[in-house]
Amino acid sequence: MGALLIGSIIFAGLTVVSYFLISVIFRNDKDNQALGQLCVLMAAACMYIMWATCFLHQLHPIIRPEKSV
Amino acid sequence: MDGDMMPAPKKSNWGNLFRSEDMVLIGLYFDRAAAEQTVHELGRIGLVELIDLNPHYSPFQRTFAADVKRCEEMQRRLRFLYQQVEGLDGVFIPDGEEYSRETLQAVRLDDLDSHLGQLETNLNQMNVQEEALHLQMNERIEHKYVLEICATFFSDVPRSGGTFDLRESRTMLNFITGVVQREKLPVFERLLFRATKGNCHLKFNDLPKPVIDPHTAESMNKAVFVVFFSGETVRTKVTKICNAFGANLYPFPFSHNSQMTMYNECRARLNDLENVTITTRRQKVETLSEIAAKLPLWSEKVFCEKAVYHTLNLLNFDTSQKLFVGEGWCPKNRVDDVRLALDRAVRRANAQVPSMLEERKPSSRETPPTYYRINKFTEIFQTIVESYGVAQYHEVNPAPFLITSFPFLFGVMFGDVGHGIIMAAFAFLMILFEKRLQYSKNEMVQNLYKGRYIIFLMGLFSIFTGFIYNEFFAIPLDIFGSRWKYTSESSMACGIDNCDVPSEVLPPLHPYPLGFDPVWKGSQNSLLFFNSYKMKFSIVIGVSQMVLGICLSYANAKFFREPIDVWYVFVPQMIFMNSIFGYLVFLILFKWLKNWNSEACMSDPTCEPPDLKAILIGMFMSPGNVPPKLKLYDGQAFVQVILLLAALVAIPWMLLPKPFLLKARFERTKYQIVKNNSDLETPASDADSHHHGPFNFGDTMVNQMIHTIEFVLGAVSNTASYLRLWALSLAHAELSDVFLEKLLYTSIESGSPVGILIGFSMWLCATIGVLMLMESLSAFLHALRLHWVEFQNKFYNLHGTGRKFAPFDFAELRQLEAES
Repeated sequence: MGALLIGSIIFAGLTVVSYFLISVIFRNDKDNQALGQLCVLMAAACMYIMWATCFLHQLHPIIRPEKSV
Repeated sequence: MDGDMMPAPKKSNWGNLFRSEDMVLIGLYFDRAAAEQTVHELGRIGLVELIDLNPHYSPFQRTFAADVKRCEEMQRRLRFLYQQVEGLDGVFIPDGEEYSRETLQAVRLDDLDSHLGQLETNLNQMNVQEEALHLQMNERIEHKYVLEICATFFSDVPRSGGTFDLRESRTMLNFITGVVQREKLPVFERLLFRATKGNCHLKFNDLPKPVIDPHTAESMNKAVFVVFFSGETVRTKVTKICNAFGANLYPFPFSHNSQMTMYNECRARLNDLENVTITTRRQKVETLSEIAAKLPLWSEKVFCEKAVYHTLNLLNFDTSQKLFVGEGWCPKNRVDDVRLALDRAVRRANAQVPSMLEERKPSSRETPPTYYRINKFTEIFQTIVESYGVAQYHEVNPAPFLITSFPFLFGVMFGDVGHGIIMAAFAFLMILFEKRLQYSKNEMVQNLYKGRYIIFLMGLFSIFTGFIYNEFFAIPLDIFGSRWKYTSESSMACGIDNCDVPSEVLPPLHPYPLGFDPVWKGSQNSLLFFNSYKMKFSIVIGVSQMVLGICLSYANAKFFREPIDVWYVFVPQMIFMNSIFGYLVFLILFKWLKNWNSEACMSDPTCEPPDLKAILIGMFMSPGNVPPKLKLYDGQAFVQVILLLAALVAIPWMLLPKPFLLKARFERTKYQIVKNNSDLETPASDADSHHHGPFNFGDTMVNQMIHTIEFVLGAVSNTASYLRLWALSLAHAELSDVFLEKLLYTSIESGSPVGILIGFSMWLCATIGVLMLMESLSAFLHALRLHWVEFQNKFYNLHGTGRKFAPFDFAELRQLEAES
């Protein structure tokens, strides 16, 4: 569970940094700034869901890997 | 009520792509003298969509019908000239460029018209002449061959005094000479034989090289023939057959002397003809090369003029005041640009009367067109959305959400680091060389070029999902070190940090941090593990996207100030969706978070992971009763009953109140109209923007019923539809696995370098051809469907589609013409 928390914090941190970067890059263009911010948030959400579900799936696995013969 | 007929709510601060631009209806007034210039300027800036003010007139009844027709005639002539020039070698037409206003101005349409007319007549004359010359020349050539070859036929005939003396024979023997196509010769011979009952003799010889037939102007292999026969009746028969076979007959005199004279005449004539042809040809080339350089300019001029006249036909012309009146839509923040354009036109035309622009209040029946300011990056996403349907004016646009969700869902189905890198690199190259690819004529290249940014993002997300699935060309990447190890005690692996008793096969305390542990790829039960994850993930991401879609319908309702849509559509929809499928997501998360390997659970026989599908089915089939096998947490039965009730209540809540409330509102408005009937303008309630015309309760009810049924059934089928994410990613993983195992690994096992080379190239072809091209196309199409249907049907185009802004724009028209 600790790793899940650390991972979430890393994801949140990366999101904040990207959000900030995008906002700075498009500081003179409000329309594209808003679009960029939306993209960063959406991408972060999608990728976080995928990573977190994959992590959770392996956290308390119901089956074990079986040696293939 | 009367004040805010057009709702002008504040636009969100989510950028220009989130909702379409504010549009205004503008009225234009300009002098006849400035008309052409004004319309020309409007075409250049491309910001105004002019409304047809004479919809009841046919194209022929309009003011400038004759001018449009004249321009069309000129375009036809120009096309003719283009054809003529393209038919010549060595004369090139320069590519069309951006011509300045002055250059175009310098060309006068009347002069050009007469000039083009003259050119056409001249060229037609030249062509007729040239054709006649060619016909004569080809005839002479054939005749020359006849004279040459027939002489050999007759060389073995007994001669007397230099002449063939056929008359000496007992019967009068006649003959006909000519040329016929080589392929027809056998049939020709047989027919002649039958028609004359065998009383004829055919001699023939092939021409040494193909000649051009004078009449059909086609190059063909031919043969010279002589038919000998007797009697005049036979002659007519033979001549008829010759004509039927397209044989050209040429005279061949008896005497050797006349043969020689004829031959010499023929050669001299041929020589003359050749000279004349060369001169004519030179004249034609000169004429055409003179105009070739000007053709693009002329086409551009005529094209612009035609567009201008066509547009002028849309306007009202006040004959008494010599004034044009136009009406059109224009983006609100560009009105000043239009104003400046009008002023420029007046100055250029030296018109006495200044032009006028006024902003008008549109009546409620005229919905403004939908217009987004897109750039080269957002263009493709907008195109994808609009292939499904154009947003209504100010409706929420799904395109900004597609920018990430589309490539992401694609990546879920196409997850492989290697494949993702290839795709992203390919798209990156296209972006790098986009200037060079822009004008490519190849349709395939054009399509890829248009999609370069979305392909790039698709590649990037595939790399990410590839890391999650842990696949690099189907090989697992062991970046962080596997957390499982196999021991000799058991066929199953145990966690490296939790393997004190290997036979207990306990999982690792700290799972693999990013994506799937590489141990799974080679394990026997990997599919079981991956499928379980992919199915659950599909449901989680699908429900999230659909809930986002429902939330966007809330954004629409809020924006259009439709409280009915908030309380009687959005709220029950949210309740229904979340009490069933939100609960499913909750169950998935709960099952993941519960430690099935804890000592307490291991020692408790009832602690067994339940089947989530069975829980969901049981929730409907036997409410209030949870068998121990399906128990996940305490109080589960109660929660499920409450959720089921909520979902059931939500259905009539969606269905019934809205039509009744709309009816009540309509009656209220009607009453108000009667009350202030001094106001003759068509009243429209601010919120009633998409229910025009008289209110029909039956229709509204049926409509609402369809929407409700669609949503309720759709909630189930759409969630199931997201399972395609699992299916496609499974197919992708299996295919790339098979290619790797069967092609690459098998060949490497063979050990021979040639075998490895063949195996590798086959694997490469399969990867590129099957996975990168076909598989990616199918993943693209499935992502498209998920967005068009599952995502957009929650909020988009619910009240019909909108109309796309189509401004009068030269650049746009030019592109259309180039494509046709």
